[in-house]
Amino acid sequence: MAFYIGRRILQSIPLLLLITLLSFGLMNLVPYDAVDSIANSKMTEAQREEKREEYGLNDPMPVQYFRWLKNILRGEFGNSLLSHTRIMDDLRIRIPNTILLVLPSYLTAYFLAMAVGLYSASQKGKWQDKLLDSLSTIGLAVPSFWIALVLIYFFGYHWKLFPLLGMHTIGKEWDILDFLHHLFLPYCVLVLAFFPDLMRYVRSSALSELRQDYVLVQRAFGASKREILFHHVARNVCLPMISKLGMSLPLLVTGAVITESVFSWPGIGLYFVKAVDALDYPIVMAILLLSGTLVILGNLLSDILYCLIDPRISLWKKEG
Amino acid sequence: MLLEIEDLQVEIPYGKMNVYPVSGVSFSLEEGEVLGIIGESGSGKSMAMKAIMGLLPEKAKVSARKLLFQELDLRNLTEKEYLSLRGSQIAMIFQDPMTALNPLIPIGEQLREIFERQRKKNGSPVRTKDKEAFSGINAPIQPLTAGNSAGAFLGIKDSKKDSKERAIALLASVGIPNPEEKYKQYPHEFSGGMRQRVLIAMALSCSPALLIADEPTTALDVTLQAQILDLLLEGVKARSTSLILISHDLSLVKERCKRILILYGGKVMEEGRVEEIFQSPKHPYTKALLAAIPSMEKDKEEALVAIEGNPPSILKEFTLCPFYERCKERVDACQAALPKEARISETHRVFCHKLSSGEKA
Amino acid sequence: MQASRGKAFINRILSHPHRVLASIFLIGFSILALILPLLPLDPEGLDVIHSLAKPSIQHFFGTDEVGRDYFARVLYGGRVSLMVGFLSMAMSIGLGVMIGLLSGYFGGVADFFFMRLVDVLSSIPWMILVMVFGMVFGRGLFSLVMVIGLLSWMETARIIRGEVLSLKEREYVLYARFLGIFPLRILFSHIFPGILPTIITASTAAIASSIMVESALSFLGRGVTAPMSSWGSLLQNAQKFLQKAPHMAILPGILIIITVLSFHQWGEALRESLLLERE
Repeated sequence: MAFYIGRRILQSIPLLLLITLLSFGLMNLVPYDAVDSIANSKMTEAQREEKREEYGLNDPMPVQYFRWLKNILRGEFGNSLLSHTRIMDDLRIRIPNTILLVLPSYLTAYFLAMAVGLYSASQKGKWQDKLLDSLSTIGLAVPSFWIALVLIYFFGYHWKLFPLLGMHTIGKEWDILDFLHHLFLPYCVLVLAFFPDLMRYVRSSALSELRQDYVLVQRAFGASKREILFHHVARNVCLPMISKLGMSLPLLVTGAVITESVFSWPGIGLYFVKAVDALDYPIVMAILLLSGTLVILGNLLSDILYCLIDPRISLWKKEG
Repeated sequence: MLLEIEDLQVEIPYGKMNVYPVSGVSFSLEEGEVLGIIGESGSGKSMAMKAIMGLLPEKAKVSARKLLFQELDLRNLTEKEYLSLRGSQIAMIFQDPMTALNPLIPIGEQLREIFERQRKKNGSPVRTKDKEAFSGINAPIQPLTAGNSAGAFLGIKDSKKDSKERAIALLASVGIPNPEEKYKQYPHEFSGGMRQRVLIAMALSCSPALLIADEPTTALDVTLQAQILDLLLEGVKARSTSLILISHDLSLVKERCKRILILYGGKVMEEGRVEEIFQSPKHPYTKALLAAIPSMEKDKEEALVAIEGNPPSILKEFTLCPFYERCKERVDACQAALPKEARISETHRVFCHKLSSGEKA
Repeated sequence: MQASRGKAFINRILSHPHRVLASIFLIGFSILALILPLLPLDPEGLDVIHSLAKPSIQHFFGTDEVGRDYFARVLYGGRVSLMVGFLSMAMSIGLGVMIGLLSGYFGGVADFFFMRLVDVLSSIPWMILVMVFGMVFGRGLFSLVMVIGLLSWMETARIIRGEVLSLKEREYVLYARFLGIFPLRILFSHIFPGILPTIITASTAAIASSIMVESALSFLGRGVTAPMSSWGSLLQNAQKFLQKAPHMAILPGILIIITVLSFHQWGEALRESLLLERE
């Protein structure tokens, strides 16, 4: 198995390199002189040129690329052009914030989708299923930031039940209750954002499982629909769902770009949006690269999970 | 009488129309008897059996003048009542063993599940009202679960171990080598023949009063067909279970059944004891079927005859004999109405105008 | 053949009341968007005294922070949203079909190159990719269309490629190739009709998702720029006045939902009519 995983990792290296090339290439296409954000407006042209030399902005492109790549391999993403803070340090603070928001929301949506999707499929053709199906269809068409605005208006302004912005009340940084209070609204928005897609996936895979021969056979042997649904169908639906869990790894970093912006949640999404606005390209490149890496890792993880849980796939055979 | 069916009809809405895959089918079955049902695909044989099992989709409508299983009227049974019947009293085996088992659950667990379900059902006390309604069902003794009503009160561990041992014994009894090892394996590690053996074991595990085998060997290699069928018959005999053996192949059921029922277009064409069907077939369709069987004894000069034309569409309700369009012995009466039953003997009946109008075939 | 397809599609619409409503909405709104400048609606007229007013008879949708009629603004915003949706769809479907056809029919180096490109572009979370490309192209309607179009063709290309691969092996196509008919002609007279239904179905989905993406980008301030406004930028602006004028946020959002749902309904009807045809 180690061999198989090793091979899969080796296979993903070219893709990763392509992503680094893409992000580096893109950033050099920006119609913008990077020295502007280093130099202030009072500097003379000579001073600006000095800064250019200092930051290596005059070197040939390939040289800049390899220097950048070498730094990244050492975990050094460089400094923000604006605040001059180390990007690595910023990421260290902000990634956990995003995870604190995305992980509970995604897991809630995930398990809720499993239960509701299975239930909906079991009621196929009845009003319960029709209702849930219509609701999930509508859910797909609702922009998450709109839901956020509606929730903020009602729960924040109108009923004043929850805070509008941020992660903590100032001065209460280690207060769990205060944190949960802030978490609630963005959490709801994200659950609503993740849920419809997941639920439709569960429902359609459960429906296709229910059409399988073994379901009829089980009924002929006296199993009730309930037993079949929860014992047989659920197991077969879990399989693709577990591998979906792997593929959602990048969500931990980029799953809440819009929601974080609406709620000023100090996570990666907000950091990224601000960096894009300010054309702070080392930050943008770092996040582009990070998220791309996570997608590739997520796919890898999903493959490995699939191999581990599906008895029909033998890792040893795959190596041949 | 174990099973009595009169005028069974299945109606399925299809768009704005209704389809009638089964109409006016009557037959009966004695306890311990083996009945062969012959029909091409689309003849309604599977539909009729699913109607008996209560396994048709909800939108399908089943009606009958009489639908009795062990004196119990199946016509208005609720799903819950059917649950206590299926598996323990009637079981069914299907055509394709490759897809009949859940691919993600080990064979042993799928087998054990059936025992445990049975134990649960037997362990829970039967309400008096149900008892009356089901007096017919509970009558036959179930050797494998008998004396185990106490099992429900024993520790789970014991019953689990117990059912595991029983599952392994059952696997061995259907001729699966290394049953202990196979117990832990998944369906994909079994060949088609082995899977059908497992399914037979599952179907017989509760010693049902009736087993329906819907083309159990059609999907299997020809060399395996006889083996599997013999295994099935052996198992049925040992438990004095009645068997309905469905096939599209007359030669396959010839040696294994006493009686044969021939279906076409959702209707009965002819029914009789094996000798009657093979030695003096009356219906033109039966004759055509027999002419299409290759045989060692047949004269080499005598060519095999295929039946011309295609099986009929069931999209309309038949007002004439469904075989009319392909029949080579049509008479004028065939264009007028459906043929009525003609009794040739106590056990032999035919639905054909040539006979009901008094002509000798 | 095409006529019967159209008929089947209309049948699938008429058999569901909510699809009829969706169609009326889409057709009605599209016509409205076209003739909007001819109507006596002024999205720019200021009425500072009545700023942030609630919906009323004078102003169906109320007014915004400088007293502009919000009904007019929402209609003009919808016009931009629909336009972005339509143009991005055209671009994304155009690219997807072209690349899918080339990859599937000719295979070889082109196929390898495009499929690796699909791999790379699919390896970055979409929202991030769009924002980064948006940074490169700058803001405004044109770059918005470019960015959405350039980054959403991958799925279409993949599906079309698969269909072309199977159509290519059909007898009539093999025969045409055997006769030495010019590949482009085979593509257009034999392959294209085969993938047309897929293209149409993908188009409705693409319009719907483009409208969603446009609104998200404009909401984040990465979309159209003032004085032009779209549903997304209206929502962005509304966020600032959420407490005093919630109607400014709620109304454009509902229109986005209805529009996207309506396109989904069309897609659903198309899929059903195709399924019936295949049966």
